[in-house]
Amino acid sequence: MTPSHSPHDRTLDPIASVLPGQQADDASTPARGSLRTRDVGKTVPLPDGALTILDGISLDIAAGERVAIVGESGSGKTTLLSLLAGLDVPSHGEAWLDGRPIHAADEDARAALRAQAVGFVFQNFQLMPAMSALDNVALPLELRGEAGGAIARSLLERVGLGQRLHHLPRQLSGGEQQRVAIARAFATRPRILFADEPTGNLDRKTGLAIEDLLFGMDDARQTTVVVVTHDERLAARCDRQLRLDAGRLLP
Amino acid sequence: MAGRQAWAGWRNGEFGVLMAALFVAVLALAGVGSIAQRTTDALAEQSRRLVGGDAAFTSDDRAIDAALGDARTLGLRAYRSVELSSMVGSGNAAPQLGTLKALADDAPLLGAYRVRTASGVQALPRPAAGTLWLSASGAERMRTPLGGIVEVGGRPLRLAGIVVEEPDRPLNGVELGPRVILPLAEVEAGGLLGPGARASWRVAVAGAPAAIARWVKAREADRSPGARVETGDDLSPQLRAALDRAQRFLSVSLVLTAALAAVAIGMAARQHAERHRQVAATLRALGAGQRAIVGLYVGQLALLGGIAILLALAAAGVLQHLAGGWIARELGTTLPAATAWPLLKGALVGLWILLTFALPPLLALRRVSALAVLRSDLRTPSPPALALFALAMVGLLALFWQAAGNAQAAGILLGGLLATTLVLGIAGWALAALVARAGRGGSGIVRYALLNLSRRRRLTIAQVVALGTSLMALLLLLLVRTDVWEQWQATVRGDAPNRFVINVQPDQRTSFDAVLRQLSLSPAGFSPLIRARYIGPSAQQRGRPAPQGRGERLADREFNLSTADALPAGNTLKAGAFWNPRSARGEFSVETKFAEQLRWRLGDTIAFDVAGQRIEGRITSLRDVRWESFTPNFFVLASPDLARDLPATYITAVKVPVGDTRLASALAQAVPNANVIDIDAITGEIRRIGDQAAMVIQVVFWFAFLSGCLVFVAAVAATRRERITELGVLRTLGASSAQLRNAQLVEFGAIGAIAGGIAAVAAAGIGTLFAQRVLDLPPTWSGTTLATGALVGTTAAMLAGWLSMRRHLHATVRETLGAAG
Repeated sequence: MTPSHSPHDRTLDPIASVLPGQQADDASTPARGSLRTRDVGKTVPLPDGALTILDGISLDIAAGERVAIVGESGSGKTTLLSLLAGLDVPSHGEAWLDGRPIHAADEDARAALRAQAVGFVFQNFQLMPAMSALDNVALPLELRGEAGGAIARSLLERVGLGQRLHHLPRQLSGGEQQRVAIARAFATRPRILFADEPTGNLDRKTGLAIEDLLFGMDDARQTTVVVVTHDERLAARCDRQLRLDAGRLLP
Repeated sequence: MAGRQAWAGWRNGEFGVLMAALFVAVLALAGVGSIAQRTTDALAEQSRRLVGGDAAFTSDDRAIDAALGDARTLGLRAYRSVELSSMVGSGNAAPQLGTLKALADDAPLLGAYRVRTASGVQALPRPAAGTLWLSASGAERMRTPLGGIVEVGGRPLRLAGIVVEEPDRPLNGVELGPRVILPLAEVEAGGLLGPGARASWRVAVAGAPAAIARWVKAREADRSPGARVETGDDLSPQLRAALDRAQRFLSVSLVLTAALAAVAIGMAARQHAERHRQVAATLRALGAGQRAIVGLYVGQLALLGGIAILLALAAAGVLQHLAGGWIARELGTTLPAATAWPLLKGALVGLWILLTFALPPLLALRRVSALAVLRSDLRTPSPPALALFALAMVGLLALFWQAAGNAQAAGILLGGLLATTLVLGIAGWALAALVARAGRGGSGIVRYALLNLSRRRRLTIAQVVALGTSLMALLLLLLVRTDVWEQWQATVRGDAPNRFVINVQPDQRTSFDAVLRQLSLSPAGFSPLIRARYIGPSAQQRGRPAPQGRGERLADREFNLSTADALPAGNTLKAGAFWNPRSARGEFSVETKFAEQLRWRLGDTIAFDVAGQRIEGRITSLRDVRWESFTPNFFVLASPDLARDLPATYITAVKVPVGDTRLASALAQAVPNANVIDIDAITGEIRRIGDQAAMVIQVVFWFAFLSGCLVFVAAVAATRRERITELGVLRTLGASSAQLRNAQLVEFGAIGAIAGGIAAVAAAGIGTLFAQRVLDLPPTWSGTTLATGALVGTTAAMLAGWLSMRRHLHATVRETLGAAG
């Protein structure tokens, strides 16, 4: 699939950027809303020896791009997503999120960056079970010290849950919970949105609706979207796909 | 399968709190309880030493020959001595009336005399022929060094030793002048035991309890002159009070430890059941019946609970051996052998805790629907709350009753615990409701943290109750322990009098006061002492059972009456009303326990013979006496109108430096008929008891503290997984470490503040009742103590919450969400 260009500034040739070992123009500073890695890898210690989950990942994602990370189960998709989003630290290599290096940043610095620029949608929704839909969506704004009630209400209405504001997650179906999660992810108008198997726990029809919602929330294409999925249809809706196999990016 | 699941659960840390709490409870009851039991048995053993055996019989004539014969027939060991008064003099001191104690050739039954001789301090059975020993004050009076000559009844004997410890020195007797211990043969050779000699013969016996009981019963029937039976029950009231108090406090502390552990186990079991709801639902979906579910979870509980109990019993055995030996060495005493009862009790209580607190939530899993596999909103069925609650309360009541010794004390403790739990529950609910309202207007992480309290309302209430209850129990023990300890300290180390002065005539008061002024001493009161003999039961008492045992012995003794215009210091009115000195007519006030032993009641008419004069009056008040104050106190007080013209001497108590003999010397000159009784021996014994009990109390307190900590851990663990997940999500959303830390501190701080404040007030209230009604102590807590308690509770809760999450505050989101499972 030929990757389309983002309306935002592009600093790298998108094809060259995914070739293993290919070095980009490192003298240039990654733009806001973009992602970059250079030779990133992740190894975890196990009782019977270290396990390499990812190795030698170098990629560039331009601001505004919609990229799908695909691959078979166990290929390292979620791990790559975690590293790109700063939820985990690479064992080696360098990574930039929203134009800022995160490979050597501590957890607080990464959290601060996420608060400013990132939204996240989990496969299992990860809503706060004791908080209503409204409170869940308002939470990221509250963490920034902002009143989030009005924005949260507006977002929930936009995702079709205007009548369920005060319901707890256990009172919502899987699809409805994912809608809340998407609304929460967009509450802070993130420059980058990460989604980990957003339709993985949903039926086909509901999954389609969620996909539409996910992309529909950013009509103006101002948000970089990185989605991990094994759903080929969802992957096809993205500008390009990064295919992982046994922890390595395929050309 | 139960075994495999148990092992897997143990490796996952699922059963840590449950097994730890069970281990602590059983170890406390079996191990520490055993040490406490052995220590109090040792204290009782010391009371035997004070009697000189298991029992003793004293008589003014040779009726002891029959007593000795009976002892031999019953297979008892026996030891004879005789006490009499005689003139004692030396080259350096004028002859004075002293107390002689003559020892026969039988060995002492319980421990030798410790005597300072020319070769140092030695343990000796009796002085050698031609020698004598003096008490320390006696040697001071005689001004004779070791090896010098002391004349007894005109017979010169060499001073071979100064007595350091006399195993059967009577605590209740009156000592006149220097105390001399010498061989019976010397007394007989000196002709001091001829006809008309006023000697008191004594035989002490030791042996099997059944034989002792028969011997005592036979002696109680002896009506020969001066016949008196003594057992350990005849300890001075001060020692009795100290022993009783120590025992009750220790027992109650252990029960509270077990109760706290039960709370921790209950919480841990509920959490385990909650976590396994899905597992149980899956098993049901796969075809497992209720019986299989029960077998699985009850099997796990039985296996792990059994291991915890067995390990605790083994540890108890080791603890007994090590700690018991240490206590014995530190205090220079030996502890009786351990019995199996504390171990059995520990195991039984452990089983009861498992049955009433751990089993029910697990049994409820059998009613989890298979549908819960698909429907996560289906609630876990709850165990029958009311039945369980009743069962748990009955068990606790029984434990408290057994520990405290009476229904009132058990009621105070259990009632206080229940009332506190109720108040804490209401407070937890109110907290959740309050923050729900107040939090709506705010923003940020503090609002999030406070609103969590209302969002997790049931858990908030459970945590407030758990933290508050454990804190209340710990504060209660701390407050009461402080009361007990401070009272002991004040009584035996502080300004408690250690010299009683008796036999002061009314017209000698001025001279006596002059001596005290000269020595800068202040008397603790100055009370008349009236010797009286009780004249049998009145008509109203004849229908009641006669006094038995000690009561019977008390009835036959001469009484020391006194009088007072007002309720004396150290006395607490328990029933009736103390008289108005101006209007009182024929009234008596009696010490409560004394009245019980003699079967006297409020309103009874009692009569006494005072030097041939009959006095009669009604008992119009009953009072408790704090004997450890060591001020002159009396079992029976007569109203001023009764005592007005009766022959009396005066008694007072004074505090002098230990070993000081100046008072005795000065009074010997100015008030020669006055007698100074040195009660350092009694205070020394109480000090020893206090030291021994304090050691064990400290150990018991730390076990209770450990139990309380486990409750804290269980309470915090109740929401731990949820918190870890939330922490991961908050991190993903951009929350900083500081925000997350502050959220934990705010949430737990609010819970801790409420729990700590209520716990402090409850502990003060229950502690007051318990100290006054059960331990006969005035409470000494203050507002500062309460405020400190509340602050400690808040801090402890915040610390517990922070510690439980600390590891995750700086971990990556991936690590955190992975840890949440």
